[in-house]
Amino acid sequence: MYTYTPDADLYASDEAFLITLDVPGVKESEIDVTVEGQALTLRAGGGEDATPRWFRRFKLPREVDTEHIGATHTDGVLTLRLPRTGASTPRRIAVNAG
Amino acid sequence: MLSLWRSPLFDATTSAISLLRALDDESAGAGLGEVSESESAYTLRIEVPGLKADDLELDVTESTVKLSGERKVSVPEGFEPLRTERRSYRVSRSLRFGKKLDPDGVEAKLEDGVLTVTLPKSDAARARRVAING
Repeated sequence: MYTYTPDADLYASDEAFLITLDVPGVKESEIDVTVEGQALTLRAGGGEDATPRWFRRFKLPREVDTEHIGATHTDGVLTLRLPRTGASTPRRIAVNAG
Repeated sequence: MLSLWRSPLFDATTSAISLLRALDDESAGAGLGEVSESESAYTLRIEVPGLKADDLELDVTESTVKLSGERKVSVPEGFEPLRTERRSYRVSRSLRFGKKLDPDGVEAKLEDGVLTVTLPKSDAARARRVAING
């Protein structure tokens, strides 16, 4: 069993980053995404104890809201949605009279 | 695009790009195909992540298999691409087999981005043990 590095795309918007990865041949239950500090690690396939079929590690930008990362898996493609912290809500700063 | 690089997001963006460069020493596995043979059938397995059944065509004769299809990778709406490794491509593969196939018995299954085609050998092509009468 070999471990492969999945091809990945990275996209960005004002609200979030998207990472899409080709991980053919694995089921949702075999996909393991963990976040530790600023490191996101993908392991997929290969069974519990074995070497994973797919492995890739990403260093996340500091502004990613790691509590709200979403993942979807369709047709062998895994999509991770990484929201930016505090994005999408422009803050108005109150100006107080001096 | 330029404004992005000048924005305060610059640092975050570049680190997101560098993260995608990490650990790239293994060759990509996508697109690998393999054929195995048993006594009764050939099995073709090919990785086609992102393709749906409608994106693929499979034509089988008594001795050949032709697989065609197209993968189109598009930028998700509302997003800017920062780094793209996943390629759009056309699949066009023809295989010729040494033993005759049974085209009516072919089964194809697409699951989790992997196409598996089972190609039974025709009865005439199967090895048979012949009883020796004494």
